Amino acid sequence: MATKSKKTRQYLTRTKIFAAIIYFVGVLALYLASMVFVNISQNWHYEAVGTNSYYETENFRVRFNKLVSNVVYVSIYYGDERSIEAGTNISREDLLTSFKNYYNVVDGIITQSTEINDTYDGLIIKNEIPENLKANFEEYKMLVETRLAQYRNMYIQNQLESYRSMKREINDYENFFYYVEDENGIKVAGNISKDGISEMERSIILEGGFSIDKLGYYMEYHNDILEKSGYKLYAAIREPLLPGDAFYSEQAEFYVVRRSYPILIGVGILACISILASLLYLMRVAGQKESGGEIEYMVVDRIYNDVHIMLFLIFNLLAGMALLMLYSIVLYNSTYYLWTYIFSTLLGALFVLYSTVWLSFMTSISRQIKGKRFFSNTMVAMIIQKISYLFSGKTFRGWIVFLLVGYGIGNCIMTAALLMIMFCGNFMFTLILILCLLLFNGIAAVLCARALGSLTKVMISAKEISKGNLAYELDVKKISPSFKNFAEDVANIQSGFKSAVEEAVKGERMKAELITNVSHDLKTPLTSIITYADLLKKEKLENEKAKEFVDVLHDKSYRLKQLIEDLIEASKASSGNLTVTKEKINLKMLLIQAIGELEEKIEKAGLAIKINCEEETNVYADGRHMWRILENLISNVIKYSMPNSRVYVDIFKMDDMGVLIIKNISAASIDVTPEQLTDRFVRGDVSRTTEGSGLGLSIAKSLSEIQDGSFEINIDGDLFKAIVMMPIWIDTFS
Amino acid sequence: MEMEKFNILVCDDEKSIVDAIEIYLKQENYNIIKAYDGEEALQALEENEIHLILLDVMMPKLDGLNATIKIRERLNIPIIILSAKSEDTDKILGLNFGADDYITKPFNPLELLARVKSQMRRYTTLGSIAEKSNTIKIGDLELDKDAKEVRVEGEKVKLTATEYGILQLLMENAGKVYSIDQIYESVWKELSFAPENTVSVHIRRIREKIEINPKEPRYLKVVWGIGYKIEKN
Repeated sequence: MATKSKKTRQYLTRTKIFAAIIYFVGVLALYLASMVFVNISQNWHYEAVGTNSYYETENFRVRFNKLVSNVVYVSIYYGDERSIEAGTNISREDLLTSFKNYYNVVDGIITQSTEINDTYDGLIIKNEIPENLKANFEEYKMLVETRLAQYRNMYIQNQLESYRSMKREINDYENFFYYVEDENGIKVAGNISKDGISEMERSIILEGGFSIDKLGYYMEYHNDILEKSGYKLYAAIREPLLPGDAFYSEQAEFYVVRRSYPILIGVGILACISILASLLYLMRVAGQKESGGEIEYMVVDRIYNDVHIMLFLIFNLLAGMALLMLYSIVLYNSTYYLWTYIFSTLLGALFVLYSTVWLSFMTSISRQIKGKRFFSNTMVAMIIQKISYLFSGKTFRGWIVFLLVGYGIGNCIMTAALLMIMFCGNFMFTLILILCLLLFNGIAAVLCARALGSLTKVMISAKEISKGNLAYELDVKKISPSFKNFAEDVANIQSGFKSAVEEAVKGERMKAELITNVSHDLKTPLTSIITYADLLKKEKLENEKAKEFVDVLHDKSYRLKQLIEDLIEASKASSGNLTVTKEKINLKMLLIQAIGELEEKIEKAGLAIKINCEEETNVYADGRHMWRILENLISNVIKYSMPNSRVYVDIFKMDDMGVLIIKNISAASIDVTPEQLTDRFVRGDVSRTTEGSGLGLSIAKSLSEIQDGSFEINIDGDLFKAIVMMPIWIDTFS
Repeated sequence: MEMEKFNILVCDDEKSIVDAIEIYLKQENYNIIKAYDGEEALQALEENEIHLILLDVMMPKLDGLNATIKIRERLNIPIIILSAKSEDTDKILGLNFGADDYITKPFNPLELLARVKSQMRRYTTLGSIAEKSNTIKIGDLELDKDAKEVRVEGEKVKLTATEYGILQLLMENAGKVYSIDQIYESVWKELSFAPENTVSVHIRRIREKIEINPKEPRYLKVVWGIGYKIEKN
């Protein structure tokens, strides 16, 4: 839960940038401090850290030992320049060794390689030199004879040079004192008296090896020359050191280094603190503009966390190795300054990269944890989710993939096992495995066939529904699990569709019933009206006007009767509540019969009906309904045709329909659309004074439709066309 | 015509209709007994000798159809149902329950009267007329080939020669449907050559002469789109 502070703290961008700057400054400071530390410390073999005194350092020891060694050589080995020039201290063995080195002679044989080893010395001594080397040996002997004397002079010169430089070095040191005496205690050499040395704080006496003594350290020092001579050597260092020699300057450097350590350590600690603090702050505010605010993720957060961690660890490993490598290169190859600079720069860059990766990683992890998606945004979680989704069976594709993969793996394993066992030659197991394989594939085939069968069932069901067969039943229980959901969906669509249709049919039927019931209720009082109007008509009324009124009453009551009957019929026809008994109907015959029935009215209206029928046209329809349609149409024609005009009726076949078209010229202009005319209660004349209910055309249309035919009205100016189409009679209907 | 007055039971829950029917039937010299629901009708039947019943269907207490069933348990008198229900199924139901005729409301009073008379005649004088061999009789429709005349309910009907020819053809072959061409050829004795509506007009005129209600013919029926026939009784 986010901490509830009264004021949400704003995490300003500039603060974040500032923290990042602090972080990188800290990183650089740490790098520089460590580099300086390493550079100054390596000169002192890292002894400067824990050592208090210069005298305890390796640098001091090396320098001191060198001087002691020089004293031994100068005072004991060489003696003085005259004895060197006389060559008194040159042993033939040393000379020969040096000679051999100089001329690359190994074991008496001149060679460029070291193949020939010491054993040949023995051969030389025993004079058993192999034939193949004899020539070399001869060459060597020649060399020695011709060059050795010459080399001896050169050797002496070298010794002189060495003697002089050593002596010079001893004399260069202001703070080094020595005193050498022979086995009899007689002074051989020295720059101070024996007593003077003894008074020195840091002095040693050597009789073959270093003693612990006042120098504060112990080192075994074997010097053959000193040991053989039996001489005694006193050496000491002045304390405090006086300026003027290397000891003094080195001691001064030592103190400078020592004094810089606290500073470097302080800088290092400060750098660490600033790095940690800024890192923690940046982690805290990562991804947010205010405390508890919404988290904005960065591109790096898209990496799955476990992958991210792995990459981070690998990077750390590689970067650590690279850092160590570069460090060691920088440390030990300090001879080439240019390379040192390059590598130092590389090291610094790597260090910055390293810390950048750390910062990025830590803030990313922090964002993920704050956003509660540390675990969810892992590859493991994703894979688990994918697998569980696949296994949940909710997705059809998942199921199929799962089953196919399972089938494939099963076959692979069994085939592999079969091959292995066949290779081993075990007949029984081979047989069993073959049977298993067959069984497995057989079951798979059966299941597959079942699933496909189920799919076919569902498809058939969908087809039936699309055809409008809502009663088709799909047994969902028999459908295989893969298609169960699908089958249920289809069944649901079907039932939903069915109930909608039933609802609509019910509504339509209720409407029809309502109309019928209301009409029945109207009929009873109407019966009385008709009857009494009739009775009144029969009464001998004196008043002429009253007679007229009764006639009107009589006529209108019949008209009302007609209206109610039409209304009932219209509602029944439109709701499909009529029985249809289809048979073979000759359209022309039907028309003639209808004209016969209505002949009187037609004549009265002065209309001539012209029938145009080229071929016998039989349709498959209900005769009574067809009569009603024609009656309505002809009545319509009688009512609205221009008096004394002709009415044309065409009867013909068109494709699989029998067509009857009645055309007449309207007396008045028709100002309604054909669609409106077939609507209930719409008439061509607005006044509604003429006979008729306004339902005639609507009834004709409904009746045509319940017989699988069609009815259409076409108006072209004053030309009124009614087109009735009925399915043609085919002999196979009977 | 009759020596005694016949008793007719008129039963309808609408009093004005019962009264109106009474006026018409009294003019024809019938004696009227009135009832206003099924139970009253049954009671009136107990108390009086009734010769014909006019019965409404939708009535309180006991409806017309159930009353018909109860009446038919004992009596054989003509029952004419008067109903506002005009569906074919209603008519079939009523006739199957034992009614002899079915008149839908609102009715033409004259038609009602004609039907009442017709039923009464059949009930009272059934089988009393000796049939002549050369006479075809279908219901109340008689065709005398010798006299070349047609009688409906005993009354002579005036027909033209062509009309008589058509009627004779159809009555001799009652139940058979004749197309316009067939009728023309057998009556006019010449090939049908575009007779148009000659036959159908004649048929209509015959129907107007012999039927009580030409729009709902009892004998001469139109088989739409096929032809005409006379129903076999």
